[in-house]
Amino acid sequence: MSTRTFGEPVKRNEDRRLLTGQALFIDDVELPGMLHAALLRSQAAHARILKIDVRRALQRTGVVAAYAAGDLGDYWQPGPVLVPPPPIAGIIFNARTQVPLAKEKVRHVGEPLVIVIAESRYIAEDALDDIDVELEQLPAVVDLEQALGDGSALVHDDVGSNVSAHVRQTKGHYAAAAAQADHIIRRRFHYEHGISSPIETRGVVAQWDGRANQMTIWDTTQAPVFVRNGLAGVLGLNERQVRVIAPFVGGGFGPKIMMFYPEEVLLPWVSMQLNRPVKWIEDRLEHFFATTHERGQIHDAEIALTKEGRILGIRDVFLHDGGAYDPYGLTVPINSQCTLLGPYVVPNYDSTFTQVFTNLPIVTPYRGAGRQHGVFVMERLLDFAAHELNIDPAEIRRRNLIPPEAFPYKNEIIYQDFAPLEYDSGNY
Amino acid sequence: MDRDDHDITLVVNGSSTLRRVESRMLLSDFLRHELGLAGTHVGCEHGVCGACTILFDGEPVRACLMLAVQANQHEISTIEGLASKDGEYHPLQQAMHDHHGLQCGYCTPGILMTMSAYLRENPSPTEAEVREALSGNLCRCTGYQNIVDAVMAAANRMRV
Amino acid sequence: MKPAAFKYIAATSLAQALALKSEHGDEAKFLAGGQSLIPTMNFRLARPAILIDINGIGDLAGIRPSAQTTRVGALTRYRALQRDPALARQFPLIGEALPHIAHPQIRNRGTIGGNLSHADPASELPAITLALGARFRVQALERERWIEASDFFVGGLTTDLAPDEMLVEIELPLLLPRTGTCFMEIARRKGDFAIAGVAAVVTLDDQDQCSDIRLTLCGVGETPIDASAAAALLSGQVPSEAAVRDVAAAVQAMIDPGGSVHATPDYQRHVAGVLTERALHLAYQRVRHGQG
Repeated sequence: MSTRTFGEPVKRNEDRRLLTGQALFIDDVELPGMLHAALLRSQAAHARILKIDVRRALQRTGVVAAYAAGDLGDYWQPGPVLVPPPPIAGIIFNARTQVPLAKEKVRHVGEPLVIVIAESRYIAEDALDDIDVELEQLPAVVDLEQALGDGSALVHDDVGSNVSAHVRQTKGHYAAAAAQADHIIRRRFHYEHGISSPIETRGVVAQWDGRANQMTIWDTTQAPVFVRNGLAGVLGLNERQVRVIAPFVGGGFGPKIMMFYPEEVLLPWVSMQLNRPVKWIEDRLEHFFATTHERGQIHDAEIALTKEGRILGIRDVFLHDGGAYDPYGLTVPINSQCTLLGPYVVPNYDSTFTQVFTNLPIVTPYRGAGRQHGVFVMERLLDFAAHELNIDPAEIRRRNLIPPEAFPYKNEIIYQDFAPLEYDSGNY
Repeated sequence: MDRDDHDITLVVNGSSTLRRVESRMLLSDFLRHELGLAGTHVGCEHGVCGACTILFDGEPVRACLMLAVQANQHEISTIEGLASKDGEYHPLQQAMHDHHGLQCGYCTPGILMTMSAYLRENPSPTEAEVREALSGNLCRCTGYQNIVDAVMAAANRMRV
Repeated sequence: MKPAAFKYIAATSLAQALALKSEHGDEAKFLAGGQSLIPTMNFRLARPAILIDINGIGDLAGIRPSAQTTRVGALTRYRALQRDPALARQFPLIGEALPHIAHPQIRNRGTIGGNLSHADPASELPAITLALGARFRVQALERERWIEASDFFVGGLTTDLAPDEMLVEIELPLLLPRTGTCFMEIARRKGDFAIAGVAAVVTLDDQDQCSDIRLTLCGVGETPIDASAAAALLSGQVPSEAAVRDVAAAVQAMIDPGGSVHATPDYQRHVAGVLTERALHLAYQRVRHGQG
């Protein structure tokens, strides 16, 4: 057996095409007769839709079509819940997923109202100005704590609150542990809302061939097979009629793994309606509200310690900003909840989170997918503990690391893989 | 308003071309979609990311901040013209490959065009100078260190 | 983010450009470097009906030194300014500010005239020209006038230019002998808009006492701020640490920064004071060590 890779530096196979400008990225797809899409997006974070009138847009030279939610007929439906909630006792989960075009209400800035199809993107953008939209602005839900207070506007009226999910998981008995503690530290931690900003934005090209009964879709997706399967279903095609091609992608980072974005759902349908290929390329301005976000948590955390800096227990209550819809279930906050425990012995843990609906773009996994939030809280608590107990910061961690003989180490609480969290091996 | 079209003649990667373009067509869109030179990438359309950097009369400029009509009677160089006609890499391309200076590769053409012009004028830069010269090109994947290493290595090789 | 439609005209002479601007007024915009105009057009924040490309008017560019002044054509690109050895020698203040302007690619196209006409409150060159006591030559089809830098910048993104006028030339008086200069700026990242910037021009008499000081700031108001009156505290003195600190405090008291997503007004005020102290000290030392 010879070694081809072990111990050898390996050069990449894909570099030549990338270095010479020959790699196919989504906006490089050019098809005969291809049309271009632009979306009219809400400028209001929260509003009732009173009127959408596209007639003037349709009169503009070069505009081929303009569709609002009502034009989609039965095709209009909320997207699937991509990750169902894990089987945790007492869990609350209110599934409300994103829609292809807003109907009745818009719930975040950038939510699409109309898709315009034209001979060029330039003309499509011209046509956006021709569309008459009347929105009745509603108070925007942005502050996580106020969102849960009495009298807050509701992102989803039929939920009755802005609770997207509520989960409490415990291990051992924190209150008893805290009663024994020599030292308790309480802090509030803010983790700011952010976005991933790949240099390449998103895009979709859909080409329906009515004679061959074949749909080909190019998509800046990290999950082409799932997207293929799901779109085949909603389009009423079988999977062998649909091909989803993920070309070279200019940075995925997680938001490009979110599936059934409005544009992914719309473009194939439009192509079928018009029997022509259609392209939509997200521009940088759109990207800030059309592609999913991450982060945004407030933790009220408490750590109970002996005077030698041994962790007796941790209690954490946190709010997670899920945005206007929750297609990704609880993945991100569950990761925060579970990863907070880290490589340390935490005999008693009481963690509660509320995922909050807000009038902001949807939050889905991005690089770390919530784990870093848990790590931030734990590591800061240990830093504060080190400072207040006058123990070296490295030493306090060493005292709490899970010892090698304790593996496989059971942390008991349910993780995003639906099973109790267990570390199978380790020697820190 | 009737479409405001103009005839333009320009040299792109050494070849002269004559086209009719709408005045508002951005140079980036012209290169990518009219000429099919899709190696120049669009990242922001407002001049901050550098992905669309090309050479205009030999100088690095943002293609998204120029109109195609402005290229009339001028010379453009894009990434497609950087390697030699038989495919042999420019030293910068080789160095980027050797030093793993690209991951997704989307920012790479802009960086190559910027640095090829830079090294032509500054054959012996310090690392600090290279970082300064790179400051107009954003990369979200690599963290820049390998790109800097690649440029320094290419400069070394080109001085020989 | 594609621009709205417009009619494009590549002017071949200044007269033609001015005639078009005279005819169309605010409906027309001059296209020089385009590094500020085109982004605003791509965002559709600006929608000129007519775009007058002046890049073909060669006479509008050039650096023309003479005995008392240097005249810089408005179409001169930042890059040309950076590369001119005489300009670097005679006006190191400009050379020191240029690397802070955006990035190399922008500097290959952007022009001094475009920058000054755009009058961004965070922009360095307005404060620099103010510190240097520059005059601007402005032309319309049938008239010409000179405007002092102190009268040119009237508000955020607003100059004294009438709808039919173009800035065509910047006249920089040569610095007096024994003058040291310094420009400093703080931004979140190199090339970003200034959170605060200070330009100091310090002239000494033969006892090394300050005989004339010009002090201006960018980024802390709607226009560049002339804080020379605050710096007059140093007149007739060798600047001590305490005196310079007093000037910095006076500067902090006279500005009213608006804050932004990158910095609170308090931070801008604090940093303006710090930069004032540093710039004054450095400008003074530079004369002492031979810059002037």
